[in-house]
Amino acid sequence: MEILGNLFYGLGIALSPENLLMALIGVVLGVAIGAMPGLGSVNGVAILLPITYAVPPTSAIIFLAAIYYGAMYGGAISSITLNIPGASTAVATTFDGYPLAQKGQAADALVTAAVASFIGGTISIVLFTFFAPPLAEFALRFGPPEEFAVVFLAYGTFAGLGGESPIKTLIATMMGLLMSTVGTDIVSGSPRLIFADITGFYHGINFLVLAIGLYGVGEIFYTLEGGMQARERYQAKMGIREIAATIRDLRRYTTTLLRGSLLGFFVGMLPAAGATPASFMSYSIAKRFSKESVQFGKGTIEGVAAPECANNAASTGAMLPMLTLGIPGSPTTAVMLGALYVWGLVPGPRLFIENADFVWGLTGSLYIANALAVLVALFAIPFFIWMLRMPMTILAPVILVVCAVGGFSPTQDMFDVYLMFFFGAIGYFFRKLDYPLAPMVLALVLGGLTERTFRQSLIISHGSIGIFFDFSGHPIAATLMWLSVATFAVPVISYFLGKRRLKF
Amino acid sequence: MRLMDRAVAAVLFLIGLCVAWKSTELPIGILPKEGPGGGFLPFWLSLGISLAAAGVFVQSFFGGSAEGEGADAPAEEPFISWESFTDILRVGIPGLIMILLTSTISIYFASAAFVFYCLFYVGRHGLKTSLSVAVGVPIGVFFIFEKFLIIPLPKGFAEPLFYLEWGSFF
Repeated sequence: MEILGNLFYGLGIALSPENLLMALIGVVLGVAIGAMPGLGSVNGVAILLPITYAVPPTSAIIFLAAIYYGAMYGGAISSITLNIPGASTAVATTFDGYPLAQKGQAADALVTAAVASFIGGTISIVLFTFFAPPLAEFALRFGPPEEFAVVFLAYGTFAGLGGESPIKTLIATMMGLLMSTVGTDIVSGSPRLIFADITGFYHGINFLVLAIGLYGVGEIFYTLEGGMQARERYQAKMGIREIAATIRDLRRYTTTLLRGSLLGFFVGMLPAAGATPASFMSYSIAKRFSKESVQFGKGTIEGVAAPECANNAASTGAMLPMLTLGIPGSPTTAVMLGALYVWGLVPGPRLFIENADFVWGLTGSLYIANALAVLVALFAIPFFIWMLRMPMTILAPVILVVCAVGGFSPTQDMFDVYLMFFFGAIGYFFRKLDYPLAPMVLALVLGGLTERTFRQSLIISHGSIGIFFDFSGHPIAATLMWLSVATFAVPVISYFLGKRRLKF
Repeated sequence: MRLMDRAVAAVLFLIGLCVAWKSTELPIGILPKEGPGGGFLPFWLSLGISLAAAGVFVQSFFGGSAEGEGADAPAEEPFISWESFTDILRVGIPGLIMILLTSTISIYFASAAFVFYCLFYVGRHGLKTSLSVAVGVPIGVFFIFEKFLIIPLPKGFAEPLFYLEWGSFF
């Protein structure tokens, strides 16, 4: 009952006019960014994060969460109309969405995507409301070794699910961690890794500079490579009557929707898994259990509903470990986690006690943003289809300017803008060569925590690594450490055995 | 593709060694009372990067590289075609110039010039579209960042222009 009280309190915060406005703007921007080919929620959140400096943290997280939500809806729009996934989370939506559009049922597919997203989001938010507080309470008992083990588990799962090559994931993770050590040594306070005596290194490498560089500048380079012309597209007509008919039709797929939403939530909760694997899993499971499984891939409503409900459910699921344990469940939440530190909040169990209005305001706003997103997605579809006509030659320079300003804002140092551009080049090469980007951002965000907990633990244990594997003294830490070693080992072993890994 | 894979691995290997050398400025061992020294993590991480990069390099000679091409894979695809490369450079180089000029001629003039160049010369949009976007972007940036967020952006020689209270005209 206490949870319900908190929830109503949170809804009250979320419904205040300024927060409602933030949610609305966020949702509209999110849908627009999600619909742009190549740009997804993580790009949107990274590029627009500097805008949140002027507002209180609660409004800021509401804004970012709304972008996250909106992008999940928006991704489906370009998947269906252009056969170009707006984001990786919407790749599975192209399988049946585009064939439907070719058959002239683009409007049905778009409405299905929006409604399925709403259902997935709603189920997931309810689960979030009831799961988060107990998990946070449990995590309150964690000391440095346990905290280190949780962070280590995050790295382990990223290696397990990150990219194609485990060794490249390892390199990306270590590079992120290495970048986090630039600046000042946290224990002795002496300057560390100040290359060529450049003063810009003294304040450390800001995670935002890396995130905007990799996901903003690098992504633009990557998209430019695909050519700068606008593509042909299908027109979709939308009216109240079409919408209502499609929704009535969707009732046939209640089990698919329920299964996809639950699956999405729990897969999203796993560190690093996020919405992309969730949508693929939901699609393949729906296909396996469907009575019309031969229709999958040729354009069936069920094939759009399954991945769309799962990716939205997963985006909420991914926020749960971010808030309760301080480890992100997806690349986007990794960027949001960095934002929390920027705002001076410490993610983790204490957040629920010390910043209750932040946590519950966010929870409340998830309900609101979800409802807003379905409305925006349904009624603004013609507008977004118009917007997709905007060629990359207009979008690319405008986004580059926004990136430059965004890279400058956190530290107001031009050196960071140069660094950001350099990271953009790295991001381009890494993407082309299958180095995963998310582990690098995650490691830079969590680097400070990793080093602090690691060194504190070793001070406690007088320099023995054994403290992390000691079942009698720190059972939770030891369990988590062995679990991470296992998640780390699985891809490596299967890689050397030459077996194809489970592909989502 | 494979050549680039090797080149990047080699560069990472060298960077790893350089940073490892750099991190010896602080103690890299485990100190008796304080636990690991300030150089401990950076040192071992950069050595780890070198080691892993060497692994990627060696791996690229054996069929099972990251792209999953076997030894009998068809003709090697190039890392990037010349046309795509020029497409990137035609926006990337002006972008770099914009960033380098920002501290001297202000973000406003630099971004207007950059946006205009990209739209008019690269994208071949009409003069009207190009001009309106090129003027609109800096104005938008000014109101969002300078006025709403109160973040002073680099203005260079254009600084005196901002002594006027532009915001008060609207």
